[in-house]
Amino acid sequence: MIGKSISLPPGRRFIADLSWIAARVPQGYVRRIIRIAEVQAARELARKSGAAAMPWTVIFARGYALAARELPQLRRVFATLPRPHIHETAGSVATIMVERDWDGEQSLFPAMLRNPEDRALADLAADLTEALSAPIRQHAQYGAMVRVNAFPLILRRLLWWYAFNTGRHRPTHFGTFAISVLGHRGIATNYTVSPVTTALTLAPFRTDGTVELTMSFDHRALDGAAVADGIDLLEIVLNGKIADELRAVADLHCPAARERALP
Amino acid sequence: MKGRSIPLSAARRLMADLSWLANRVPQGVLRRRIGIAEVRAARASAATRVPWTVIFAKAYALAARDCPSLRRTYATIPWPHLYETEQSVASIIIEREWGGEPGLVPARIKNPEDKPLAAITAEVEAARLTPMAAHKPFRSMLRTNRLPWPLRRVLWWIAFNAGPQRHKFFGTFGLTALGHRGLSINYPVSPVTSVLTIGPLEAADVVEITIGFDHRTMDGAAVADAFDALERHVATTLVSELRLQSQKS
Repeated sequence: MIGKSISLPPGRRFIADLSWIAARVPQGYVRRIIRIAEVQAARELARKSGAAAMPWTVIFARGYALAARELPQLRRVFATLPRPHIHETAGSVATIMVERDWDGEQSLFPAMLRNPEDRALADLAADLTEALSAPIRQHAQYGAMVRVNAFPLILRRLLWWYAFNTGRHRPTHFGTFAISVLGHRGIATNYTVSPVTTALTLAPFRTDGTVELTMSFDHRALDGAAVADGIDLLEIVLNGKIADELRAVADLHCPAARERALP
Repeated sequence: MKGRSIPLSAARRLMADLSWLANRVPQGVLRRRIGIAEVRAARASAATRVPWTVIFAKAYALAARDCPSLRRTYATIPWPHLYETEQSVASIIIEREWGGEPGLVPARIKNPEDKPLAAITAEVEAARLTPMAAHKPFRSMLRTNRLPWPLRRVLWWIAFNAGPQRHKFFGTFGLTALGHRGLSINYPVSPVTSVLTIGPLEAADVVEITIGFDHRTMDGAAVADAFDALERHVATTLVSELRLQSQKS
């Protein structure tokens, strides 16, 4: 069979390195159906009032970071340098995987949202928009990644390995948790490749105001019960505080919209 | 970002070591929904409440009596081979207090296929409630867990890869459940030949069971046989035993 050899495009090289790290993380993987009816209604209300549609990734990033504020285990990373220990950060860093063009090929980029628990949804959405549109070589977050990606294999792997296994560096370069969504493409995830302590994915939304959420977790850092606590709290926060915030956005844009929506 | 360093607790150290072994097992995971209407009714009428984990541990051990591949381990010392035990050893993962924080420990049940449900339940309860240091079956695990890192890993590695040792430390199969917390497990982390997980109980008396299996030891067809045998034993042997309990009371 005739074929041709293709040298790794930069995007594939980055994901190959990331997967190399992820394969070294013993990951458990759980799923649960969660209720999102209230937050879904509030998001729709905000959209109808004239505000820009709030990305679901931002909604979940803020919700999960608020849950992590109460549950320190969701802010921990298992670090091996200089010896195996747990590193707990004061705040969260959400990593949202976004698709960007990189030298002519679609590639995955980690958009990092720092301290989503302390920031407004609109502010976080603006960060995400910038991560989706700013030129990749000029974007502050991507600059270091693009530079490291150009190094030879051994040096590149050594640097990623060091950043991943040092408690202080991991949150900065990889985030404390990750969100990736393929639900809008009709895809549910069985198993993700992700090196972070916890990674959330969303399946397609169901018609009854629920969605199947899957979560991978580094079993060295936490157990299934802590993950269950995290998902329980996330569900409460989404339909409580986050829904309130979205309703406030609707009020700000058009107070009448909310009144019209009331029965 | 500000943060603080936390030394590993005994529970986290054990999980890190077990996860390290589990990550070296090429694991396949299959899931199937099985009907439990009859056993649920029988369980509800029994005099004492038998945990679901105990019911499924016994049923799986009975299935393993019919399917020898469920009692096999892939051992690499001194060279790759299979080791088959005559009976099963269940490792039921339980959450309990360990050094002032919640930790996971395996309650090791020898020959659950031959024991009454009440005896298995008592063993699991003892593993949950007896102080860690005083519980005899935990002794070798605690001793190993206290050793320095390289020595600990070497010992775990030998125990895991030597055929006659594996079942003593890890059991022939594992069982873990998060169904009571509403979670299904897609991919378990467990250093055993096969690990059974129990999902949430669904409305129509159906429960989703997943089996993670070491693909070096067996193939998907053997797991399908295991599911068949598990469902059969849950619906027959276990229902009869639970009904007998309710009659006695």
